[in-house]
Order: sequence, then C-alpha cells, then structure tokens
Amino acid sequence: MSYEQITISAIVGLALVGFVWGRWRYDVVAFVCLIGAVFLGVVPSRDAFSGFGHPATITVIAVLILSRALSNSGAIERVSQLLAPTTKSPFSHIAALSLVATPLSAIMNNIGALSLLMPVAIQSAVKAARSPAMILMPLSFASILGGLVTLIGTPPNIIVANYRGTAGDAPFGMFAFTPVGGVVAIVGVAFVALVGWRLIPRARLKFTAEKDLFEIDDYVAEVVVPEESEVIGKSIADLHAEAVKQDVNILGLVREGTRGFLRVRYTPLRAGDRIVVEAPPASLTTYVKKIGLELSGTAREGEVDLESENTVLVEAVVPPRSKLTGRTPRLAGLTGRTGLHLLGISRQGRPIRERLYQVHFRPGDILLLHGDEENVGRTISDLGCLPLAPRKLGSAAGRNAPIVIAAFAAAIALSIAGVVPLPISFSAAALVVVLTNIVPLREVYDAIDWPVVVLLGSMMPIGAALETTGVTELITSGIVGLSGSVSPIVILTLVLVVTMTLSDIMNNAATAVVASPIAYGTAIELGVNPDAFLMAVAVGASCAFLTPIGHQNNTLIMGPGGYQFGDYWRVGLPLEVIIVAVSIPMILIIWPL
Amino acid sequence: MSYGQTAVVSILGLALSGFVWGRWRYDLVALGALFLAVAANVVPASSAFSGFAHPATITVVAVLILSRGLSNLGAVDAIARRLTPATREPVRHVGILTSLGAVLSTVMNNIGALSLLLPVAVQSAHRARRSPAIVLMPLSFGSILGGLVTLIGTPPNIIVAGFRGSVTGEPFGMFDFTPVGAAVAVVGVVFITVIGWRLIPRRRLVDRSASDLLKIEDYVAEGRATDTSPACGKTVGEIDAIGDAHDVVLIGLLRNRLRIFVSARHQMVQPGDLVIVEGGAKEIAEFMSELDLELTTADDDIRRMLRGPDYVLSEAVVAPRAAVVGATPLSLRLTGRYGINLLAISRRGQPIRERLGSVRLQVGDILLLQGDSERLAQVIPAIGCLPLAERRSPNGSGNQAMLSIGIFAAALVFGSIGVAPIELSLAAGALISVVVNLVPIREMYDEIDCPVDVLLGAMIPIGVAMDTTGTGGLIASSIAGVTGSTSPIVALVLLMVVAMILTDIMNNAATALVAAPIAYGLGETLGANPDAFLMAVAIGASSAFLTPIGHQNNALILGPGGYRFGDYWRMGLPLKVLIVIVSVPLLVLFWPLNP
Repeated sequence: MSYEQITISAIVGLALVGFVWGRWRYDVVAFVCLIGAVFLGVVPSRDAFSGFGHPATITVIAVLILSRALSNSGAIERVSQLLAPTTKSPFSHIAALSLVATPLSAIMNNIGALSLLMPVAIQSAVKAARSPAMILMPLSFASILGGLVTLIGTPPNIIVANYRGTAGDAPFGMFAFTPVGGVVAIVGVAFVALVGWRLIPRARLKFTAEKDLFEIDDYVAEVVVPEESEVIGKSIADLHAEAVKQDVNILGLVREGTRGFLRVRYTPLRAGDRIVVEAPPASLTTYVKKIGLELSGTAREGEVDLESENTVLVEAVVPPRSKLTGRTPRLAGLTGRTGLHLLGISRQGRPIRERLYQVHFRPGDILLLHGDEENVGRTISDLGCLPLAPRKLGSAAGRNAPIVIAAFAAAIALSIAGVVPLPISFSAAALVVVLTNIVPLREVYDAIDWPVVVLLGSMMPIGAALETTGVTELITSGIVGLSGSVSPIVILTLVLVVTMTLSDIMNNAATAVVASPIAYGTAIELGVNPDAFLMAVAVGASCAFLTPIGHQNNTLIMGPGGYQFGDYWRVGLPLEVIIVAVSIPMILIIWPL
Repeated sequence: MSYGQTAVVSILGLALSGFVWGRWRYDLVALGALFLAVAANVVPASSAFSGFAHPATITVVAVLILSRGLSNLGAVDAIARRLTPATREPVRHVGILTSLGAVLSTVMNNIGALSLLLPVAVQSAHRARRSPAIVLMPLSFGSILGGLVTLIGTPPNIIVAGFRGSVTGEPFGMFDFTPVGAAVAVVGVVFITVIGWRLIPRRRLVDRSASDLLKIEDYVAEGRATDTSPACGKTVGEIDAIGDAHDVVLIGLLRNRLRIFVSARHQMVQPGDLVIVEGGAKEIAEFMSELDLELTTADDDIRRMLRGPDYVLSEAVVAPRAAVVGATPLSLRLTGRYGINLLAISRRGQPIRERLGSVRLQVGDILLLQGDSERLAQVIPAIGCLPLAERRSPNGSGNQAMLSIGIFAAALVFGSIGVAPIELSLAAGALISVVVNLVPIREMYDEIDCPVDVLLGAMIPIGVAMDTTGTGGLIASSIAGVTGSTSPIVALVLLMVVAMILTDIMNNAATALVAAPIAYGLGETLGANPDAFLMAVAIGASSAFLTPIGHQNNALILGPGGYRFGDYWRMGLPLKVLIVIVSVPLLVLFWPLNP
C-alpha cells in the first residue's frame, strides 16, 4: 500500500469510528476528516470544498425546502383527518396511517413526513384507546420504507444516483428506484401492519392515559400563606430564588375573588393566599419549612386541577435536530417566560422528576408544559419542538397545496424529460415556493438540515479520494479474491447486509457515500452489472430499523412511544430479513447481472 | 454580439435591476439569475452549483465563524472601559473609536466589529454629554474602511481575490490588499477624525439621548375604571387585546398604589383601578371612551409605574438579519410571550407612536422596551436586537480570549505563508473553534450569513460565464470605446467611481461579483495590468458611504444616531472623493499598469 492509500484508509477508518462513537456530531467528524485529508495531501486542496457544490448536496437542500412547503400548505393534515373512521382494528389503523406516510415520504424527507403524521397518530390512538406505542413504530418504519421508492425520497438514493453520474454513466433518474423500492416498501408495510406491531413488547402495548407518563398529580400541591407569615408583603419573585435552589416550581397564585391562576410575580402576598407549586415531595417539605408556608390541608394531592379555562397542559417532543439538545431548561430560556412552566420531562417512557432544571435535553425527550394556551403553542414552535397534539387548522389550510404540488410535478417532469438535470429543476421549484411565500423568507434557511449538508459536502471528496488513490480497488479486489468462485448473487447479498448493518449504527447518508464506490468497484471487478450493486447499497443504507439511533425517525418516536433501545430490533430484525429476501430477487429481475 | 453575450448581458441587466429594486432579497434575485443562465445555456448545468464550493464562499463562511469566536473577547470591553478618560475632546473621542473600529474590522467582518463597539460608543457619548451622532457615523465608516486592509476584511476583497484565482489560477493573498488598503484606511480615518464628523448636520450633534427622543411621559395616560365601566370584570389580557385593537400599549394597572403588570394576564380589573396606557393622543381617547374610563393625569403615578425597581426601560436597536425585521409588534406579541412592553419605536430620529402595533420593523429602528431587567437582558438578544446599554462583561475567560486570537492568528499565518490555501486554513481554524467550544456547536450554523453565501454561490458561475463568453471583455471594450482615449488611468478611475456608485444602491458583494469580470476584461482590453483594475473594484465596492442602505453598518447606526437618509453623503461624499484621490496613485504605484 502506498502512503496515500494508507492515509486515506486511516482517515476513513477514523471517520467510521467517529460516526459510530457519536461523541462529536457527524458533521464535525466529517469536516475534521476532510480538513485532515487535505492537509495530509490525499484530497487536493483545489477540490476540498467541491462537495458543497455537488449535485447530491444541492438536491438534498432543495428537497428539504420543498418538504417544508408541503408541510406548510396544511394539505397533509386535511388528508389525514379523513383517516378517523379506519381505526377499528389495529391492522386497519396502522395500514391507513402507513398508506399516507409511505407515499408522502416518497416525495418528502422522511422525518418531515413522520412529523406531520405523528400528532395525528397519537391522537387517533388515544381516541381508539390504543397505546401510541402500537402505532408509532409501524408509522416510523413505513415512512422510512417510503423513502426507498423515489430518487428524492431519502439522501442515500440521491447519493447513489449521483455516484453513478460521476462513475461514468448517467445518474439514476427520478423513478429508477421505484420498481425495487416500491415492491420492498409494499411488502415491508404489509409485514409491519399484519405482524410487525405484535412483536413490540407487551408492556409497551398496554394502553395508559397520557398523563400517567408524568404522574404529575403526585407532585402538585397547594401551600397556604399563614397569618403572620414572614412572606406576607413579599412577592412571588422574592420566593423564586430559594424555590430554584430546592427544585420547586411555583406555578401560580390562587386568591379568593379571582378566577384561575394569577401570574403575578410582583404582587405582594396576603395571608390566606394559596400558592400552587410542583415539586418532589422531599423538596417540597424542606422548601415549605424554610420559607414559612404551610401545606394546604384542603386541596389534597391529585385534586389541584391544572387545566383551567385559561391554562393548558401540553406535551411536546424534542426532535433530533432541535436547538434544545444538550441544553438545560434554564439555558434554553424555558425559565424566563411568562405564564409557562416546565412540569416534567419523560425519557424513554420514564419520567424525570428530580433536579428537573439540571437535566440536559436529548432528542426524543417529551416535555410537559403548563401555561396559557397561546403562550405554550408559541413556545413550542419557538423551541422547534413538535407538539403531540395536532395543530389547529386555519381556514387557509390546503389552499397553497396546488402550487406546491404543481412545483413538485413540474420539477419531476422537467428532469424526466431531460430538459435540465434534477438538482436544477428541484432547486428552481424550491425558489418558486419561496417566491410565492409558501415558505417565508425567514424560514428558508431554517428548513435546511445543515449538519447533513456539511456531512455530504465533506464526505464527497473523501469518497472520491478513496477511488483516486486506488483504495476502492484494493478493497474490491480483496472482497472478490476472498469470495473466490462464489456466485455474484451471494456477494450482492453481502453488500446489502453489510450496508444495512452499517446504517444501523451510523448516519445513512455517510453509509451511502462510503459504500457506493466499493459496491460499484466490486461489480466491475466481477464483471457484472454495477447498477444492481448500487441499488443494493441504496436499499441497505436506507434500512435502519434495529436501533433508535440509526435513523432520525426512530429517535423521534422514542419518547412519544415510550420505547426502549431494545424494542426496535424485535420488529426491525424480521423486517430487515424480509427486505433482503424480497429485494435481492427484485434487483436481479429489474437490474440483471 | 454572440448569442451567449446577449444572454449574459440581459441576465446581468435583470439581476442588477433586481438588486437595485430590492423587492426580492438579493439571494433570491441571484438564484433566479442563475437558473435563467442555466436555462439559456450560458452556464453549463454541470457547473451550476460550483459557486457554492468556490473558495470565496467558503472563506466568507469561515470568517464569520471565526469572528464569532473573537466577539466573545473580554478584551474589547476592557479597552472600551479605559476609553472614558480619553473622551474629553470630541476629536480624540471620535479618533479612538474610529481607529478601534478600523483595526478590529481588518480581521473581523465589518458588522461584527461595529456591533461590538456600538454599545461602547453610545455609552461613552452619554457619559461625555455628547450626542451619539457625533461618534456613530465615524465609527461605522471606520469599520468599513478597516475592511479594505486585508483579504478577509470584507466579502468584496474575498470575491475579487477568488475571481482572480478562477481566471489566472493565482488568487490574491492575505496581504496583497494591505499596501493600498491600509493607506486608504489611515487617510480615511484621519479625515473622519479631523474634519469628517463636523460635517454631520448640526441638529444631530445636539446632545439628545435616545430616551429623550422617546420621551414617553407625554404619551402616557391613565384612566380610572368607574363602577359602571365595561372594563370592570375584564382580565388584563382582555384589556390588552382591546388596547391592541386601538393601537395603544397597555402598561399596567395601579390598584391602591400597587402595581400590576401586563404579564398578570388573568388579573381582573376592579372599579377604582387606574389603567395606564401609552399611545397617540387620538388612539388613547378612543380607547378610553370604549372602556368608559375616566381620564386622569397624575404624573407621579405614571412615573412610579414606569420606573419601578423591577421594571426598567431599555433601548435596543434592530440589527441586520434580526428575526424581527419585517414583523410587526402586534405579530411579535412581546407582552404575551415574554412579559415585556414595547412602548415606542424611533426611526431615523423620529419617534413613531401612532399605530405602533402595525409598524413593520426595519433595520436600525430603536425599540423602547419596558420590563423586568433580567428578562430584558434575555429577550433583546433572542429577538436579534442589540442593547444600547453596555453589556455586562462576557463570561469568556482570558484564556478563551487568548485561544481565539491564537487560532485566528495561526489560520492567517498558515494561509499567508502558503502552507495551505487561505480558505482551507480559515476553515480549519473555524473547525477548531467549534471543537474547542469557543463557538458552541448549536450556534455554529446561526453565525453563517446564508443570504450572502447564496448570493456568492449563485453569482460566481455567472461571473465565470461573463468571462468565458467574452461578455466582460465586450462591456470593457465598449467602456474603453466610450472613454475615447485609451488611457488606462482614466478607465481605472471610471471603474472605481462606477463601483462606488453601484455599491451605494446595492449589496457590496453583488457589486464586486458583477464588476470583477468587467475589470479584468478592461485591463486586458487596454493591455494594462488587470490586477490594478481588480483592486480598484475591491476598493470601490467597499466604499459605501452615501446612504444608509448601501452597507449593513450604515443601516445599523441609523436609529441609534438619529440620522436621516440625507445625512450620510455630507461626510461620505468628501470621503469618497478623498479615497479616489489617494487610492489611484497608490494603485498605479503598487500595481504598475504596464509591467
């Protein structure tokens, strides 16, 4: 092996370790490797940033903006409201939701499709007295499967298609993935709806009312300001410092002659005022003693009604790309707002009670927020969280849908007709939805998943370097040499299985970037049709069903479904086996070796 | 003219009119132009997005992330605090601030340097009993001039260097701009300090702090709720909504000398309560009559309401790229969301009070906010505004300051001695800043000025097309034809002046993107050194001193300085003339026209 070969192999090896380890986010890992590769001279500095102008990167960005337009149009919620009558049996319930999710995610990004449907799914599950856990994992898997169907369904397809473009052939077209991907998606969804959901652990499938997730009743209490208390004349703001120290959350003030909660930080307290607090029992006792208040005898635990005419309790989930990730509630600005309280955090189905304000948020956490209906709604969208209840539809919902659909259709038609390449037609369509204000100017750049863009931009030149230095050839000839006289079909299966495994432990786009050149090279070495091998990579890289970290969608449902790490493979492993069993024959039929 | 040339010229014309018109933001205009160019087949589809991978685009991104690391520096605040004794004379006051701005912006982006020094400037002016108008325009111009000195000082330099790179293969280096740029900057700063600030209209120089400008007592009224008043039994939230409908701001209630704030949404109004509102005289009268409130005037009550120990008044200026630009106060719902009141807006030195709720906020507007001091400190940056009061010194330690300076310096050294191309070493520096947490990873992408990057990414291929289709040369030779004589010096002056005019009415990066290919063509057509012409574009495109819209920095100081649109050219025009006079001989000296 030459110096270049050793260097680039080491860098790719480090990148893989970094992706799997997860200590640094994948964009940082990828960019470190890119810069390292340039300084060590294996990626020419002229090409260092070529990945950022790469057609695959641009297509990913354009699809994200168009996806935002689709979800802004409100059309999907309209459609999903028609699903209500189908929830009689678990099968029809899951099938109906999947029937919307799969086609939707064929044209938009997977997590976008899931985010739109998740509130509907939870709501309909609760209405049908079914555990959301029964519905959410099937829904997530269906939205991932939908991505297999078209070129723009998921980044791995875009990467594979463009790899074919750089390797000498024309890039794959919009519907080149459809024959294999469509069949795999249909079989997969059928499996999940018929059998799959039954494999979710029984404990998760038991229906419990939502609030039990947090058991807040045990933690809310009223304390009374006694006569001749020290705190008379002080305000709630004065009590706040000690409350924070003791982990006590002051929710409001109830006073004779007023209705509902008073949120008066600076109103002097009077004897007889009742302060509603939320705290773990131990902290509460300490706090009450220290401040000179009394626990109220009249309102017992569980009798304080937090949902009055002006306040609501709302649950929201922290999505994978949220700004909340890694922050404490205080850093996230959850403490400084009026009429809003964080009552609880639920992680992997278990409530976090103690030291709530020292918790660092993770994707998939569920927040329980209490406050003014309007404030709560705004805060959730400010923080980039997803409410678990469907949003209310304005009368204008769905009005923009024809424009969005027309933009999509025109972009697809233009690229199929060969007038302009796909990245250009899709980014022109993205420009149209911005100009028509369906995606407002200030939302445009927020709609883009920057970490994935940087990941792609950084990995593209590294992938190219693997090839120019001859490492790909080395690996592929190694594979072919080892396999000896084994049939190419076995090797094809091997490629699919290895890609699937990689994609379960690291980002699917990164998997596709690394696996495409190797698959292509192996096919050339074997003298068979490389398209079949590329298709195997596309299918494998998108199939991340074994863990909650393999795919953003699986992370997102973790909290709302109350799943644990080990729940995923029970449904995912049989599904992956079925996908291998279905896709290999399909690939062989559609892309003969 | 060939087909390609006609197409490029018309697309360029459309783009220029789009930039100047300003109906669509420049990134959208540029993308539209790019797609037109691809459709017209003058930019090959395969290289349509090459601009996004261009060194210039990457450099701009990297400099923004590195600048963020620097802006955590406690050093700036420390220097600023020592400044106070030196402000006795206006000349020294102006001189120190302007030089500081210029020095900082040689390595930082211009607006970053200005944002760091703006609160310092306003506060030091107040302390010296001087109008902020005296120091702010000099400071803004100083920070723009500082950008001329190095490659990374400002996007036009990066663009011009990058264009040279894509045509000749050899971009300008880090300090190629320094000989001419530094001389221009020094002369400019001296001019501003000695003469320039005296040219600002006299009226603006009268000490009139912004809070006097936004004198609110005159516009605050209180009404007593009588027994029969329909206000009784309504909650504060409901009264606030009625106030919104009449365009008055509900400040709070006074009950038995007790203050109740608007954040107490569910408190009910009782007979005898005093409802305190702020707004235009007509609107207040309408509001009072709808709720049948008895108008009273007791200045003591009002003052007590406004100047309580927990509730303070604070001014903040709307920064470029703030999330609130284009939003109305009504749509922001500052009261409902954050519990703070917006009492007034000042725009170009004029307070706005009538129909406050439906005003669309612009860059440079000053907001007068009232609320809990702690919360104001959180909310002002959250909505993308800059407080005009001095910040508490940042929590960054001295080590962090040294670290970020070290990273920046190392990146610059590596980039300039040729170990690695400048964009690569800066990108590596930016990466290190993120890895060592000088720039938190979650804020990394917020620092990037996406619209400018898209502008660059979209316009670079068009610039290249200008070169490949020979359009740049064509335009250049027609310019050469018009000037009659083929004296390169005349053409050089003309080019710089045109770039200077363009940059005053459109984005400076866009100006450089359009002008660079023409400059290069002009140099070649005239058989003179194209480098001199490229440098002339770099200087011209950065010299936006005539209007507040020509440069983000000038827009930012509009409100805090209380300037009007017409104030800028008084100091800006002589400055521009001076820049032309100084820079042309220097350009000819350092980049000889006939090598």
